Amino acid sequence: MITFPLLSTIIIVPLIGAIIAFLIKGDEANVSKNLRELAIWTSLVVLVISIIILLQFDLNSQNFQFIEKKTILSKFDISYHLGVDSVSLIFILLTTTLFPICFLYSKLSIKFRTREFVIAMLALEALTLGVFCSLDIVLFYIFFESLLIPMFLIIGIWGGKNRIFSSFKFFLYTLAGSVFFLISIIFMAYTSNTTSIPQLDNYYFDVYLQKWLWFGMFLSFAIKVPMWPFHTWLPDAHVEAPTIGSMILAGVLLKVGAFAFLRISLPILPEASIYFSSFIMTLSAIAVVYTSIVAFAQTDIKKLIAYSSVAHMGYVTAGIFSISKIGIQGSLFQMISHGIVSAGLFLSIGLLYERTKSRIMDDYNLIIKSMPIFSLFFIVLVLSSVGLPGTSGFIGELLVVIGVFKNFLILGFIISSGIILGAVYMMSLVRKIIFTGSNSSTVTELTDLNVLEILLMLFLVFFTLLLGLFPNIILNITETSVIEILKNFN
Amino acid sequence: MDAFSNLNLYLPEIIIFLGALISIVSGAFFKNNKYNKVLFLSFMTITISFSFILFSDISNESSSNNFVNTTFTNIVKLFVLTLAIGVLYVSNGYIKSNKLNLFEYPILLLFAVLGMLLMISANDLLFLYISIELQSLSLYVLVALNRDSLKSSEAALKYFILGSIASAIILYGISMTYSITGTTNYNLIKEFSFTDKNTLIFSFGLILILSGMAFKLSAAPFHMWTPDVYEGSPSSVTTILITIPKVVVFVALVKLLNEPFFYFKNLWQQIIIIIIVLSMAVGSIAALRQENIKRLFAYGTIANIGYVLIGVISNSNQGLSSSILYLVIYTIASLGIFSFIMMCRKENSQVVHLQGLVGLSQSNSFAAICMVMLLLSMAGIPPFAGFFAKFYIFIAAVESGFLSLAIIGVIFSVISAFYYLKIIKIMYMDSQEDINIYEVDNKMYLMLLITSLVMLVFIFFANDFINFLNKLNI
Repeated sequence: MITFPLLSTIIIVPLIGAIIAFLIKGDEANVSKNLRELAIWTSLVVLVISIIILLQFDLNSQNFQFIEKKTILSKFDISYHLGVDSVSLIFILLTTTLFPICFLYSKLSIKFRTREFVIAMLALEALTLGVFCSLDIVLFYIFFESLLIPMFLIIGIWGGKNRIFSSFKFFLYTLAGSVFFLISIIFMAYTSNTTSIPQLDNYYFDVYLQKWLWFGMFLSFAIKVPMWPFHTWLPDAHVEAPTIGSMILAGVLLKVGAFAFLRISLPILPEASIYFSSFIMTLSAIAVVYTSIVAFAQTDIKKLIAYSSVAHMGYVTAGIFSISKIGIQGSLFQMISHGIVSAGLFLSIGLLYERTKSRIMDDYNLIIKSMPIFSLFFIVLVLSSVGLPGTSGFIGELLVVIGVFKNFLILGFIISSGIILGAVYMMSLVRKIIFTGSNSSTVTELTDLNVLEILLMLFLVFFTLLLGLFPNIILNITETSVIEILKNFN
Repeated sequence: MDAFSNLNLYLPEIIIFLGALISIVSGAFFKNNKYNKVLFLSFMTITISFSFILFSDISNESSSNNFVNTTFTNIVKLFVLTLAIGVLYVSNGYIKSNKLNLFEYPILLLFAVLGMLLMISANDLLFLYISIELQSLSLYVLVALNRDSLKSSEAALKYFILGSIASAIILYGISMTYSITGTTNYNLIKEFSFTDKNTLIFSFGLILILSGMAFKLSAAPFHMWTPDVYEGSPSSVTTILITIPKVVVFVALVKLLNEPFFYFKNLWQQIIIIIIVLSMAVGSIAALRQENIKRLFAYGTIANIGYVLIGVISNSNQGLSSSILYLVIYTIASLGIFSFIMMCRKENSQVVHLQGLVGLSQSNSFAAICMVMLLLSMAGIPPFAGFFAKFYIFIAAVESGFLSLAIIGVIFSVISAFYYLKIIKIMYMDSQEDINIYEVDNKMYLMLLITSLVMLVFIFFANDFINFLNKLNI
């Protein structure tokens, strides 16, 4: 059966958008207006196509769907091999949903070099989708690694004061991890003589080799996730990145590393995954507790949220390496939830920053008086972030903790203590900037959200509550694929 | 009959030789506009030689005692001639704006190319030596082209003295080999060493020849001349130095290792491994602190040569073809970058320091984007061509059982990514007080566009190209 290559389309459409953006001519004001509309429309088209993919997706099938295959290099039969299972599908939907939101918001914020910005963002979207779609390990690496380029430029050109240092740190840190991934890939291909992920799933690697391969990949993925102690690039990158950069970084890019664990480490190297699971679990527990404490000490709101992202990703990795169905389901849910909530939180900070040009907590007080609508949305997002029942954050954390308790009792206790620690710093943030405050700042001058901003926030908050109340929307979709991922574990 | 068939063998070289002679004579007799006319003659010469190789049967394998033509050598010759045309083409503007339009420039390049073509086909140690000398002598003079500049003269003198010592070392090595085997012919030496392997003097000969060749390749620890010479010589000559000789010397080295010294693999493998690790280390680390553009790329070259040589140690056709792939991509990217450096002028003087590139992305966004692609390709970031080059090199390392080399290689590739990023940072992220105006010309744009497009679209042609290289019997 010949079908329309939908997956290639969602990768190519943003790239075409980027090329058009390169060609738009005219005077300055017109160009930037056109560019924004171009970006919005391109991302909306991608969103529509991804919804079509969702509608045509067969939820009961265990196999990869929408498969496309074309040889790139005849050596090891490296090919342009795309396909989705339900795990990648939800990430694709997350990506295609967040990008239009970002572009709609960027209507208000990017003030210079719009052309380059739009090109970088569209390239970023294409490459991220490529990562989620690829079924060839070399193709995966190509997308995974190319992501660095637009992200490097976004942080470095449109970032804050310390942007150059942050962008270099981000780039070199992730590159350093990735090259070991590359060596692992080469060695895997050399041993098994294939690079196709479905074939590698069925290939059995020697246990000793598995451990080395796993470790080589671990460095790369752990840096991308980021796991403690490889997380130090993240706060720097977040603080300096523009709001949209942060939204995409937290919303989508952090998921890439965890996705790589699910797509590559777990199915291909099952024995090594079990061998290292307590190691990962320990790192995750440290991440949850340590970064929560660090977050509590922050005065910069953006940095606080960045550290909370590390803590949340700690849940995700803990869930994945509990190697149980419920744990992996939980971490998938946690990722989607975190994608929406952290994007919302960074958006909120962006909205505040635009009004006051400050990210320091002490500069804000009693926001509830001047910006009641904003405060409402912000509080819902914060509650979701700390995992209040009824919000999406709760389901993810709960499932992960259940999964972890099955195999790791003590670590389970430590990780669940993070729920309380998370509440401590997030609630004190809310208290400090929304409900109380010193009398030094410029509260009365703050204007509340305009219609577009309300719509954007409402959209994110709606999804948070929807997923919190009806978690089965996601859990049902992912179930078959999670079972498929775990098939190599007895 | 015999004489004619031999003549056929050398015909492309003879054409270059005659072309160079005619250019000299006409250069001496033309009254005005000498440079342009000689340049035109040189173009013609190279084109005729090029088309001769192209339209005579490429797969024609013919040989005499000391000269062998194979499909592979023919294709390398085509590549070298293309590069020569490319360099002459882009350097035209540079030569004129720096008032270096001496008619000797194209002629010397022709002689260097002649030496290179001979070197590619050389099948005899003495023949190899003579062709190396012909190439080197022309290059020494080219480096001194800007004779009023102290730096250019200093670089030329340095290059000349050190280069001569290296040549002398090669010659000494050749004489040692000759003293044992009684011949300088590759095939005879190979036969001889098969029967009589354990000769100390023979090994000494090999080591000396290898050291000399490593000098010509600017591989560490014989790299000391590279940064000074690259910095001091006119940029057009640096462009030549950084591209063409590297390809040619590498091909000659590969042939040397696989023909006469084939049975000494254990010995030269160890030496090459040391050279590889040192080159990657010196090149990547020393480049970090460079402020001068040409010095930076000089160290970059040293590091890249380290990667290229990884394919050699496997000594398989696949390993060698990945080396050639790397070399081709590296030379094309270098050509693009240097055509940019050559034309990058502001306020009537050449941009020498990295800081001079501040704000390029705003004043000249097209050139900046092309440069980004070239630099990222150099750093080995996918999806650009440089990634595939490095990928294949690492595959070669793993397949030949040198996993540790691959790991060292990736570590240094991360380090070297830093200084390529630094250039991007300066072009895109550093703030500047006033927007610099760069004088650029269309030739540079064309070359930049072509080379960066090659880097970008290589992914689509990678398979065909690599299969093509694999089929060549290197």
